Amino acid sequence: MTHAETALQTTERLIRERMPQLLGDKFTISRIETSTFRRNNHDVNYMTVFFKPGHPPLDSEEIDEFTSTVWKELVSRDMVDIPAVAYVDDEAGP
Amino acid sequence: MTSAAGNAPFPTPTPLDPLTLLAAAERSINNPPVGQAADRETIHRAVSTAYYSVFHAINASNADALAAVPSNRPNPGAWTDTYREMRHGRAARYLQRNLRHLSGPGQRLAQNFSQLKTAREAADYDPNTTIGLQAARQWVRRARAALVALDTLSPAERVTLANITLYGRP
Repeated sequence: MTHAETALQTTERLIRERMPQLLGDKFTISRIETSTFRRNNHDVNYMTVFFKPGHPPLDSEEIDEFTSTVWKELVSRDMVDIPAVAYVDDEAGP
Repeated sequence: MTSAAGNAPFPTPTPLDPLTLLAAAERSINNPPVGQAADRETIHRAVSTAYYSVFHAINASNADALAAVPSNRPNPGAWTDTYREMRHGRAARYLQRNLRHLSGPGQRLAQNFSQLKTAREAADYDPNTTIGLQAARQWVRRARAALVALDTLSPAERVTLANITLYGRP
């Protein structure tokens, strides 16, 4: 398994675990898309998390807090090449 | 303006204005030509520009913190040299390693800068990544949050931020 796969899988697992814990049932993930490529000796990992329609606004404080919590947890694990994660509404497209 | 060391004139630094950059990014995706949606190129450029708005804002903050303001700097080149010193990847790594030395807003700035850097690399260099309009708007919003966070930092924390982003220690 490459570093990129590890970083992407760990991040996805953490998001799926923490979302119900921190946001209850307000947000439901419909799918997650990822991409990765190698540049300047590091992996550039990008992730898009799609939510099923009917969730609170994506610019709300709670999703900002969630984003921050996940990122800090990945940093605390000394993860290199933490993916950039965008959260979008599945119905409206990425 | 003349140098402090002598009478040789030197140009006043005119760094790119972060808020103007961010407004340009926002405008490009929110105001496509009539009857058209913003195209992929415009959307990816907006993500890149949003990142650079934060990058330039930190550069200016670093220069102000470590080399005084342009009109009052002891060394005419010091401000510009400091402004140019930050390296993208190194700064993001250093911020992550030194998160505990930053306040809440400082950590928010670090998070958004690091995430935007990666999103910008994907937007600019990965032919297999497509960043959509919703996501681009989110990256613009996060850049704005980073700029707001930077604005709230005290002068002392701006020195800390400069030391971390440039030298990897608070």
